[in-house]
Amino acid sequence: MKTKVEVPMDNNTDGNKYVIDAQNIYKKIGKKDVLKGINLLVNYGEIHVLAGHNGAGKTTFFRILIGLLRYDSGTLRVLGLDPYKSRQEVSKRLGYVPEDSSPYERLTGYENLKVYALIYSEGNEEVAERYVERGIEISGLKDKDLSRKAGEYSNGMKKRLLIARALMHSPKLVLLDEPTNGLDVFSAYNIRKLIKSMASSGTTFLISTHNMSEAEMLASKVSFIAHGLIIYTGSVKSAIEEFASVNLEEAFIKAVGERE
Amino acid sequence: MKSKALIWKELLDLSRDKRTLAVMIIIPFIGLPAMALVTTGLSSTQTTTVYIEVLDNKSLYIAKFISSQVMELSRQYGLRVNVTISNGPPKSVYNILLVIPKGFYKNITYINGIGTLYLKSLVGSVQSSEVKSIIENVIGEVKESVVVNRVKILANKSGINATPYNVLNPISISSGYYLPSGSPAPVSQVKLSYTARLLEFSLFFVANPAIILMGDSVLGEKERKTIETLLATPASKTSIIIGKLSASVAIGLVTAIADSAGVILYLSMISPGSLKLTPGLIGVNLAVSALLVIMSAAIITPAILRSSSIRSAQSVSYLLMMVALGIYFSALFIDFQRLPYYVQGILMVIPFTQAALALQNFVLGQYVLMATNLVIMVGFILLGIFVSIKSFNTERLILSK
Repeated sequence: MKTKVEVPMDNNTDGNKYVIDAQNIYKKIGKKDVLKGINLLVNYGEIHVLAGHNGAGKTTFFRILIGLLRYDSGTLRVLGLDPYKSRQEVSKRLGYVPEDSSPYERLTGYENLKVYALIYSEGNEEVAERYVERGIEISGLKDKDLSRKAGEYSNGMKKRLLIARALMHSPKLVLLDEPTNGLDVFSAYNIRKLIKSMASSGTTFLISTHNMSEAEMLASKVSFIAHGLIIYTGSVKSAIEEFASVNLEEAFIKAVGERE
Repeated sequence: MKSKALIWKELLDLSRDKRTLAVMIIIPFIGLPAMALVTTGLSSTQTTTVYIEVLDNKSLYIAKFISSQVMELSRQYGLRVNVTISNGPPKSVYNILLVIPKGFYKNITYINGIGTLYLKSLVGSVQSSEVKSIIENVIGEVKESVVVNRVKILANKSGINATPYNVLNPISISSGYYLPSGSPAPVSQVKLSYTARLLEFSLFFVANPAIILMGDSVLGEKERKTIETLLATPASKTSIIIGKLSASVAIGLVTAIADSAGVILYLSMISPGSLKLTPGLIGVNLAVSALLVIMSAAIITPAILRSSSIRSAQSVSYLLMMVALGIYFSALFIDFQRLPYYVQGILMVIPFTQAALALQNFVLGQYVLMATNLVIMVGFILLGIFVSIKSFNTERLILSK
């Protein structure tokens, strides 16, 4: 039986109204206009699902939110800061799991957590150890798994390890790009359960998905993204009502259909 | 402090890539000496056959002298030779055929006569050429004794008191060596200089692992899909570069030492007794190797970071390795200091040249120049790190294919 590790959560909003405040974000990659004026507001404490089809611009938008890509125009504040100009500052309070990512496969599960814990704790061993304990608790991985190389893990275990690594330092905002993509039913269920549990303790989530059932299960607020634009933002219930649909999937199809 | 975590991670990651490390360490360290063993072993088991066809009965004792001398000298050089003497033509294929024609003895014993020998060797045999050269030396001895006899006869006839050896060798050469400073150099200095040249060549094996490891450290993160999460942490560009550089250098040093030891072992096995290693040369070689490993990793980093694709980064790494090979292979044959100034100028801006020059300058006793070479290497390291940090562009890293 593992002891629950308490890492203090800072729930204040640093005087910012929104965790993410994106206005008219444009981004061109090569010759393609990937984002054509994204507007998105994400409140503190919500699970905001960005639902869209493949190639809608979800991953590019996420990368801009983290400061990995520079946006061409518009204004953007993530946790009150411009992520491109203040990448290091923003990343201290942020957790991110890209869609197509992997842990260090030659490192054990424990070592994967330890490396990131040391980075987030700026080398403070004591704090790092607390982060690792929290990471172990979040991942739900057993001791024998933690001492195995991550390359030997199943896809579900790898994803749990990545999410634990992104959450162990108690970030205020967590960005998950297609978190259950390619996972089996049980692994996907466990990941969703973990997200809900973390959100209940005050963490804000922005989750991208093209799986509308998942969006419906998770979202406290949903935004539809299509062709580089946010075409709808609201609760799941209001989306279904607004587009006179039986479920979110139908609402999404109708919403995208109206634009095309 | 973030660098410390990243160095730890990189060290774990690189050191657990057993296959790559095995290729980098075991092949040169064990493979090269093993290759030398096989080469020398095979070489010592092959036999060169020599057939001496004596058509002049009076020359039989000359044929026997040549045979015994060739056997003796070949044994000294570690060559296996089998000599057959007969008065008829060979019935099978021999590596070397020596024919002593009829009238040979008469011709060489006549004061103005010329005796002709026919020496033929089989095309395409490496060992034949060595044995042929031994036979030519032995024939040279026979020739000298004939000339000495002729000089004796002429001196007697003319009533001159002459020593045949002096008549044949009117000029003697007293040779020696000196250093660029003008001071005399012992013969051992020549061996030292030769060893330094071989060490310069072995620097290619020192530079290589660092280039490969640094490339793998950056491109591997992309290929293994770990780069995006790393870039999304608070780790700074500097700490990411320092982390990767330090780990590549640490493992690069170990592999470089194993690799250059393998090359030295190989060379000393294929030409035993030709190398001279002093503590000073070993120490300077280690210092040069250490700086070269760091420099190679530092100068490849900006090129990798600026590449638009993994393939182009690999091409740049390959190109850099070819430049290193070109410099260190030429070091075997070229005196950089004796090249025209404009060629020297071009070579000086190639960082690898400085490492070769440092070793050359050390064995020539030019310590100030050697120190200058080492300082320039440090300059290239700092420049490489500076340009790497300036070239670090997350967008390029994320979007490159």
